[in-house]
Amino acid sequence: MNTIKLAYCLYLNVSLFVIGLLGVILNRKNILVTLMSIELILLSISLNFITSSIFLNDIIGEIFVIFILAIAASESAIALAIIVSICRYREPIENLLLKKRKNPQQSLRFKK
Amino acid sequence: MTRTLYYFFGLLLTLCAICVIAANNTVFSLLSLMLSFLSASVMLIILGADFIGLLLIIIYVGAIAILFLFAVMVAETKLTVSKKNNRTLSSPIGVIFGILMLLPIFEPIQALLFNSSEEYTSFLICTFELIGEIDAHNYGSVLYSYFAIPVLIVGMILLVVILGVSKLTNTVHKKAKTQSVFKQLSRTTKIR
Repeated sequence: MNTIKLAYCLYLNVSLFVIGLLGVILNRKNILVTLMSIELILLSISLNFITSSIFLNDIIGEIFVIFILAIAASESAIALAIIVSICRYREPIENLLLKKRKNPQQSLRFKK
Repeated sequence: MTRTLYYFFGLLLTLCAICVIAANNTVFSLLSLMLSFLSASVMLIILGADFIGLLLIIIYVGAIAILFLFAVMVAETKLTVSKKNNRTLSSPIGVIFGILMLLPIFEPIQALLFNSSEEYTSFLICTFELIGEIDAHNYGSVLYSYFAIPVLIVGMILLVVILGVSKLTNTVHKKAKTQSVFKQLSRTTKIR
């Protein structure tokens, strides 16, 4: 009763990864949701590491998860700092990566 | 019992992950992200990795959620929703790409599922018994001996992140005129 199938855990982690990937691809209007989907991808990867490490009875996978947590936290901190500093002197950021700017001088101008 | 709990929280995790990318409001997607992290930490505790589960709650729900909430609060007026619906154009591309991504990943899992016996593909999960050993002791003994250099590298990365964030969000103008308190106090008046 207390055993669980490895295949179910792997299905779950892989489907979570694909959901995060679809969130990165499909989302075209909000850059914060893109960051959240990247967090979901990192969560699925760390879940996969922990499941494999418990299945193989090996601690190195769980050590890697600590590194992944540190990198994810630093990545989201940097990205949010960039967003906040852009919001200060820029008109709406719909999607910075995908939108073509027609007049770059006008949109980067300081507002007082 | 614990297996049913694991299935339930796995389902909750998937539903919340779908809610993250499907919600229109940013705050709702943030809340469902937090719920998905909570259910993931419960799943990890059921699997037996207590320390990592608690660490996930502390880091993600405690720190990253507040950071995201702050960013939503600052930037929500600037984050305007585009009027034309781009999702109808890009959703078939996403679905096709998702299916193409799913197929090669599920192939070895299905091979593992159907071709081997039960005892190699299933493993024991936590039985909720109190054991004397602590997880953190094992982590520390491995982390500070075999993984000493990666720990130092992660520390350097965190230092760079702190410096970069404080550089990015710093708004002190050096040319602004401010009063210097020491100069003012040390100046003698004519009237005594």
